[in-house]
Amino acid sequence: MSNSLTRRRFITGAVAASVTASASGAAAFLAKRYGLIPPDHGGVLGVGQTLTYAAHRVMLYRQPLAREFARSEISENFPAINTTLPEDDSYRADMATGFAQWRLTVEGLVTRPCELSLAQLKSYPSRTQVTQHICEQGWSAIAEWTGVPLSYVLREAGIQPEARYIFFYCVDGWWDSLDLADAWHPQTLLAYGMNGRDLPVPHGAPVRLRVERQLGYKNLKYVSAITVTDSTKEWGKGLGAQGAENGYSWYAGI
Amino acid sequence: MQGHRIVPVTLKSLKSSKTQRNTAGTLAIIAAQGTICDFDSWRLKAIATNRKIRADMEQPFAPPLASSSSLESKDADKSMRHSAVVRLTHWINMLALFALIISGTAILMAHPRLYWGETGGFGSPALIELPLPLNLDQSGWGRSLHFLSAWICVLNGIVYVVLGLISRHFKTNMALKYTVLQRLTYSSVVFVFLPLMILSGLAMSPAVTALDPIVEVFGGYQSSRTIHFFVTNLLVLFVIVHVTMVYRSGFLNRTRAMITGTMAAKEKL
Repeated sequence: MSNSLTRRRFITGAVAASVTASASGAAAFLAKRYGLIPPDHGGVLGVGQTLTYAAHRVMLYRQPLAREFARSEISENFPAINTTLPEDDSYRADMATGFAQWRLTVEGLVTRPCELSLAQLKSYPSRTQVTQHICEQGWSAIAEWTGVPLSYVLREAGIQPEARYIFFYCVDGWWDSLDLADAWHPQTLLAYGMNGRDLPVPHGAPVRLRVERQLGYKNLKYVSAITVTDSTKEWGKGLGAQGAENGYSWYAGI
Repeated sequence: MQGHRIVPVTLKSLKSSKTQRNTAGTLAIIAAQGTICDFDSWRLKAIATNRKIRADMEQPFAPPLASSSSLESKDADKSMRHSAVVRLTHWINMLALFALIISGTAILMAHPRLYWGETGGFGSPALIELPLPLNLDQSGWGRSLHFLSAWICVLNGIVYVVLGLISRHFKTNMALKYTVLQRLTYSSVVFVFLPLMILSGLAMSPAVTALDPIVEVFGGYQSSRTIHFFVTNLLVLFVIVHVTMVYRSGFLNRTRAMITGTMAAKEKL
């Protein structure tokens, strides 16, 4: 009896192992093919990043909108952290003129690279949304944001088919990137207005990124340049974000 | 202790029952009573109930996934206690929970204040200010490790529950091995608290809540965070009680049972 049980267990184990192995192989193949592997997939912790990113991309395939709130729910107290006043001299000079000299560079894998002024951005179709900003530290606040959908700017610039990532470079030297799913998402804005007014300097004037389905640190302040790329390799260590080089996951939909 | 004087008496009467396998199973049942409950009345009641259920059961006591050879071997002082799946998932779960608690604390230290409702931050009133040092530099690796171990915990938990249902682990063990208090504790940990941890964790994700506004069930983002914290405390309390009970009923023997699957039942008695 114990012999037959052993044989049965052996066969069960072998079948389970081969099913697991082929399922893992198929999953890896599909993940690579459908862009479900994040730039910071390396190492032990990268296994978790990859599982989370892949699961979210599959679950959010239909691009649902992040929760929106009533204007009455806007927080009176919205903390501003990290850079609250860039040190850059030309930025400070520009502050006095209402950012008349400010330009947003759009380059990389686009057919029409351009430099957009704040006035040009404001002339584009806009979107206003009341959303919750969730900081990775644990605090959260609700505000109303007004800006141009990033997708509009990318279409205007003529984004090319091989594009995979949108990199952002900021006045304070910070940089990060988004995948196309978040770049095309209707709530992803280049925001110039907060709570019905011009975006205040502590919150990233003149333009900040709003990526409502990710944590606060992906919502870059003081954006000054956009570069469309097909890979993350040429930026820093290739992890897709400065934060990722300090251990903060590149994808922060959590 | 009083309880330990009663067991041999009960054992004697049970020993007259039919087979060797039954005896080995019964020994394990009786040993199991010591795990949580030291109260004589509960123990006697549980043993009586177990005898009645056992009489109706054709299933061997040993978990179906485990070989019955240990029960039938000449080594009669050993009894099969935990199946391979239970043992493996138990230790994986222990490691994952340990990593979750460490990394969760690292994340919490970046903002050791709890709120109720949707929003909250420095400058708004806290529900609770936790006596933890403020440390902004540990949440990067902290969050990455938290999610890696959460994935391990969830996948491991799925294996445990699915195979547990298939092999009738819950039905058999809940009916035969444990007292009311143990059954309540174990089943609420597996079927209430751990799922609540996963749900309140998911409710903190701005991406997941775009798909399903589960966060509203908990009363908002900050409420989810607060619930996540308090259920963690319940789980930590469970681990403390669990380890204490294992210690009190023979740490080495029970730990051996969870590693090798067998325990020396006679040693206990």
